[in-house]
This record gives sequence, structure tokens and C-alpha cells, in this order.
Amino acid sequence: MNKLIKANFSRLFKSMFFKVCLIFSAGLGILMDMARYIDIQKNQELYAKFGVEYKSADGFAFSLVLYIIFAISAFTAVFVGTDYSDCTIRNKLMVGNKRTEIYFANFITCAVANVIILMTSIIVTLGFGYALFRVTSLTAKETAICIIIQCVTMIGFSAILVLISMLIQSKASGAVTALIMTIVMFLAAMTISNKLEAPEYYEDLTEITSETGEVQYVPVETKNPSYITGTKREIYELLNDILPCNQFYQIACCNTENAGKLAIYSALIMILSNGAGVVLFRKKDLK
Amino acid sequence: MDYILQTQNLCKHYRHFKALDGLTMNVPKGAIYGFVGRNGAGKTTLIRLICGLQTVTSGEFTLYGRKNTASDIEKSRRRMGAVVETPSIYLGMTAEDNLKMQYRNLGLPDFNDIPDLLRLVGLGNTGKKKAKNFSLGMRQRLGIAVALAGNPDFLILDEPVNGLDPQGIIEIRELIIKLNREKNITVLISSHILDELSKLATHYGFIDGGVMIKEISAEDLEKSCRKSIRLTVSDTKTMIKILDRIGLDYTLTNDSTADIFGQITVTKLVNMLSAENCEVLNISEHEESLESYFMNLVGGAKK
Repeated sequence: MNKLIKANFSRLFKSMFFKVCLIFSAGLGILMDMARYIDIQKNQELYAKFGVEYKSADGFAFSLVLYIIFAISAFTAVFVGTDYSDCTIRNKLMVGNKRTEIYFANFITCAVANVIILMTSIIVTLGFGYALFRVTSLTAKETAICIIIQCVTMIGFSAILVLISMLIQSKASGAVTALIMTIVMFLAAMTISNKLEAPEYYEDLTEITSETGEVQYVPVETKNPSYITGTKREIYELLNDILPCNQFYQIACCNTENAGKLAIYSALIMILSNGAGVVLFRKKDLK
Repeated sequence: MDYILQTQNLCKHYRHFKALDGLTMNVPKGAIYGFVGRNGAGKTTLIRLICGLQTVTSGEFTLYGRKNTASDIEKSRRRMGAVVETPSIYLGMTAEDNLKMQYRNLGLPDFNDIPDLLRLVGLGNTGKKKAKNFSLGMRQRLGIAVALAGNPDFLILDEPVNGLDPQGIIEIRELIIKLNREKNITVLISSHILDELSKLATHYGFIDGGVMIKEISAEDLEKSCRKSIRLTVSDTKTMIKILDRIGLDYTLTNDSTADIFGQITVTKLVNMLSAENCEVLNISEHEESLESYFMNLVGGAKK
């Protein structure tokens, strides 16, 4: 398998799409840093008024992944799909490589490539952000945990993308399917997070007329009808921990409470996706 | 005789469609084996099975003495190269980079042979030009170069001259003959361009409906291709009457011409026709082509 991985990496480093993804993730990080810096300079008083302290780039260094996943989906589908569109997958098979080796070589290459793209965005955002703001708000330990969990999640997410790309023999169809799946997962992440973050009670103003006839508005705690409870909440919480985009979102919010659990779920996703992928790919008739 | 590839009752079914239906074939070592059949006869299906792109439904094949079910069949596959339908090349890479990729897939330690390989297939001067800008013939030759990486001694070419211009066809033909004669590479070529195949094949396998109808060496084929006298006359009815009377085997090719098989005395036949007022307008010796041989075989099989 080493020779296949070596061949894949040589193709990866020649890939224009990969270079574009790296530039995109680095550029996005710089752009976000600059936007934050300009925003802080412009609205310093306003933020102070609301007691909000935006001083560093740490807060959004881990949220860029929510944009990058779309580029990564397209890149993985195109990288793997090129072997189908150019029919070069035959060259690998015909010279005696096992299908399992081909599958895992593709997975390892794509996972590493996707982690490199992700790390580029994080490093550039944190590095350029530090150069601008001269301050960090996360501790080194928190930063390290966020980075590790995002990388592990990215590996799990890559396993799903490779599964789709290896089983669809058309590069275009594979790319479209991977993008649609990413959009669906992204929307699901937003919906699930909103549901879970909804408060159980919210303050409502109730009109009270005093004996003197004076009308007053008193805040009253009201039960939120869209707050989910019981089994439904448990399912939502489970999905929030399992689905890669939800995991990305949790880390984007610098929420490291579930770090261990998220890593285990990502590892499970990786094992299940690769297991299913290898079994189906071994049975697949190739043209 | 040593055989590189042998198949026994090989079957490949796609749901209810039988692409291969008990195919048995033998490719001798050192041969240029012409695999002849119409579109959809099962040629490419067989090649896909041998290359490991698809799995066998039933039956078996043996490649370099290893059965397809053997756990180390990959070792036999390492000794072969193939171009299946379209050349398997990265269109965004140069010819040299494509070969480097294949060398890496094979785990070869260096790229020293690449310039020689490119020269062998006539792509020594392509430089930085990417494969997507190559002509069809150049792509085909690059596909063959990729298949030749790792010095295989069995080369499978599926329709190698499809879509090529006459110059390209000649170049590929000369390359195949060169590889077979100079490097002693056994070649399996599938084609339905019989005229082209007849110029290089040493053995033939005729396939139809997923079944091998006949395997024959080029030498035996030449012997069995019947020679005939082609006769054009003014009165066909009279000719038929006389030929039936003598008991000669013949076929009518149009309403005034017949191909007559077997030993005949031309003077005697002409005199007999003349006596019945039937003029002989043209007479020539005629040999049955590979095309007509194939058509007779396929027609025979359908009956």
C-alpha cells in the first residue's frame, strides 16, 4: 500500500485544486482576521457598551471549517473521481494492487490532504490574528484540544467523502453528491444546534395595572414551546455529538466539554465508513 | 504448448444478461492473439475479468498458471499490462509524469527507463505537453507505454486502433509487431477491424454471444480459407444448371457472378457454358477473407 500512498501524494502535490484549496483556506483566515480587526477598530465603543470583548482571533479560528468543508467535499470527490474519469484506477488494479489497498491509500491521502487544508486555515488565522491583535483568549491547552478534535473530526468526515467518491464512478456525480451531502449535514447541524440551544424559559413582559391605574410591564418567565425534552432531546444530543458538521460547530464555538466523546464518535464514523466502503468497493464492477 | 492465459467455461452475467456464457480460450505464449467479435460479443467483458476490474460469475481462468481464485493472482497480474477501451492516463499530466505515476504504482525504484519507453512508443519529444492536448493516437501510444511500465510479458489491448487515422493505425500496428518480435511480449488484441487484425495476428479467437466459436492459428486459418474462382457470366440460370450438373460447390455473390469452390478445369467449364450460349464475361481467382470467414462462423453459430 505504501507505493500507492506515495503515488497518491505525488499526484496530490501536483494537484491545482489542492493548491487552490490551500490558498482559499489561508486567504479566508487572513480575510476574517482583517474583517475582525477593522470591526473592532470601528466599533470599539459599541462593544464596550455591551460588555463584549473581542480582542483576539481565537474565537473564529475554529469556525472557518464551516466554510472550508464545502471546498474539501469538492476536492475529495474530484481527487478520487479523477481516477475514474481518467480510468487510471485500472492501472492500479491491473498491476496487482488489492482493492482494499487502493481504497485505504485514497482514504489516507484525502484525510491527510483535508487535515492540511484545515490546519492551514487554523494556523494562518491564529498566526495572522496574533500579529494583528497581539493577544490570545484561549489557553494553549484549549487551543491544542480544539485543533486535535477538529483534525479527528476532519478525518471522520473525510472517510464519508471517500466512501461516496469511491462508490460513484462518475467524477461529476460524485462531486455533486458529496456537496449535497455536505449541505444537508450543514443545515442539519444548524437546525439541531438551534433546537438544543433554545432556552427552556424566556422572559415575557406582562401588563399589570396597579390600584392607582398605572400600567406596568413586568418580566415573567414563560415556558418555551419549542424547547425539546425527553427522548427527543436525547436523540438530538446524540446526533449533535455524532454528525461531523455538528462536531465542527461545537468546536467552532470553542466548546471542548465533549472533546473525548466527539473523538470517539469520529473514530467510529471513520471505522464504519471505511468498513462499508471497502466491502462495497471490493464487490463493485469497474468499467 | 505453453499458455499465458486459459479460460474454462467462463461466465459473466449482469443480472439477466449473459455477457460471457461459458467462454473457453487459450492464448499461447509469444502469440499475437486476435480476439474477434462484433460489438457486444463479450470481448471487453473478458478483458475486464482478466484485469480484475470485474468478478467472474462462474467458471475460471488461469493466468501464468494461477487460477483467478488464487489469493496471489495479483502476482500474475503484475506480469501483464493492458489498455482497456480508452487509454488510462491522467489527462492533466505530461507523458513523463504519467509514466512516473505508473512506476510509483508498481513500486519501481527509479525512473531511468522512462525516456527509453517514451522513445519506444514514439513520444520522446512531447516535453511539457499535457496528455489532454495529445492527439488520439498519441494518447493511445501513451496508454500502451503505461501498460508497458514494469516490463510485462503479456499485453492486452482492447480495440487499440479505434478512432485512429490511417497513419496512427500503421504506427500502432508497427509498435505491436515490434513489441512481439523484439521483446517477445505476448499480445491479446480485441478488435472488430478484421482487415487490420489480419496483418499482425498469429492466432485468432472468434467470439459471439459470449461464446468462443473457434480458435485457430493464422497458419491454419490461411489453409482453411477456401480459394475460389469468381465467374461473371451473361446467363446466370445456365451457369447454375451447369454447375449443379457437374456437382461443384458455389455461392452466388450477385445476379451475374458466382464464387466456385473446389478443383475445376477452367477450359472445360468455359466450353460447357459456351455450348449453352452463356458468355463468360470475367474470370478471376478469389480468396476468402478473414471477414467472410468470420461471417460464415457467426452465421453458422446462429443456426
